[in-house]
Amino acid sequence: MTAEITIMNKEAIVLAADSAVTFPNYTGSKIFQTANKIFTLSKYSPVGIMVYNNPNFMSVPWETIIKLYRKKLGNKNFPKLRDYANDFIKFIIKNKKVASEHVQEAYFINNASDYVLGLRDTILKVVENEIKAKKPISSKQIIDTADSIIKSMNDLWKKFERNKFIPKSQPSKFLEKYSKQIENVIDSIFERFPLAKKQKELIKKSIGDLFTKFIPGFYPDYSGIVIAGFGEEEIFPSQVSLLMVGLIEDCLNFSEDSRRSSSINYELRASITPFAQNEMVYTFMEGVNPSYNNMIENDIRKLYNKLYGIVISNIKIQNKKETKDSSEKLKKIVIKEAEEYIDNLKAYRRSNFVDPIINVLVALPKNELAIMAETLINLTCFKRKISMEEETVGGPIDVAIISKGDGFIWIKRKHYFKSDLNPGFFNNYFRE
Amino acid sequence: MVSNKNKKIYSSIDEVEKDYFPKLFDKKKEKEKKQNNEEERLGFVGLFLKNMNNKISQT
Repeated sequence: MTAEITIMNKEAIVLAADSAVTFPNYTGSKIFQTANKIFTLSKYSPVGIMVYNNPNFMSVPWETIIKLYRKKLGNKNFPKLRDYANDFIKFIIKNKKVASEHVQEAYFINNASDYVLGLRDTILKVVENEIKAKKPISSKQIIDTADSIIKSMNDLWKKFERNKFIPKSQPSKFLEKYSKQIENVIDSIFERFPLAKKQKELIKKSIGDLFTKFIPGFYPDYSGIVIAGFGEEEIFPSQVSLLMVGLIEDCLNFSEDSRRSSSINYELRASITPFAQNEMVYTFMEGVNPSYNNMIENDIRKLYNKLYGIVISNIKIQNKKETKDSSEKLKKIVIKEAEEYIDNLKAYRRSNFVDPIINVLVALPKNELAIMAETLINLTCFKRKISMEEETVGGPIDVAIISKGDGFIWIKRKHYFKSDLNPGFFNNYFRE
Repeated sequence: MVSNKNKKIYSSIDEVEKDYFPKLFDKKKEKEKKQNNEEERLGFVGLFLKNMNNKISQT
């Protein structure tokens, strides 16, 4: 895991990241504290890139992909930062080195299998709960349960839009290409279960959606990518946050994390955005731990609901219709009051904790921004260090400042080699 | 269990798995068997020590 942050104001954007990388295995996990997560996206323009969560894409390290792109980009620049993001996406789609045929097939089969396994296990879990809850269950009920779960999943996919970079000929093209493999996956996982032809078709359709649409939280091994800096025409910094899943044929499954993509302008004058493990930054900014805050908000809703129940059970109105009307009216009032109270708490945090920090950030010189970013990452590392949890955040902290005039400047950067032993590296750096 | 296939009644998840997902059922049983064998092999004292070792910090 990772702790990363970007802090920006009108002058500059700062990127900071820890160096921990976790490799899970059957006996637990191994953590190294030497990973690089921040890179320059261009050697000539003020643009950087940061990686979190999965350090690989289609089994290729992001560092390699980024450096291949940087080489291809050369001294070309774009008017807007978003153009760099779009160009980077196109590079990944078009570059055959990034995802070989063999890796694409493995990616397809692994993900399709996981999806079908998930369906089967959900069906079994629902059936098990039914049996545990009340009574024995008939074959027909089991088949109906499976049918309703398969349909619900299909309906869920319908709510999501296809990725705009995916050609219209997909997913039918790759579904046809891998039709045998899909049949095998479904047959081997559903074994003797009597799946109707229609159900099988729905599962295949969902598999197609799995690779062409993006449902947040559906892909635990996604990679987070943050592209930050300035386009040639831009005078204020901005950042584009992307969540990348995988590539099959010309279908790159990814989504933009719009909550974390932002640009500095005359209204938004400063911002702090944490990525991956962000609870300490949240606590610093909002004055309260996020899970504690969630608990408070949920408890407020529960408490108001409980009070509503107590009031309703104690009201004695003879007329049934009148009772129903009053009950519904009261419920609406209670929900509104609870939400208003939660909003008041949010507003209090905003005006007493968040805004004062943002107001200082607006005027903070760029070197101070770097100190702040490093301190916030350090705080997350320290919290991990003194807890009984694994130190999934730690190691040296890399910090870079990107400003319009000075470009990409490293404030802190770990090197795996000594610069005086490797003059060739520095001499060749700008040689394309 | 009632024998008519379409109207078969299941009173445990094991029965469902055995009928519809026999390979999954076999795997599950195999896993359970392995676990039981380990417990049998370690015995009460062995299991106690294993659990203790999981709780004691080691260098």
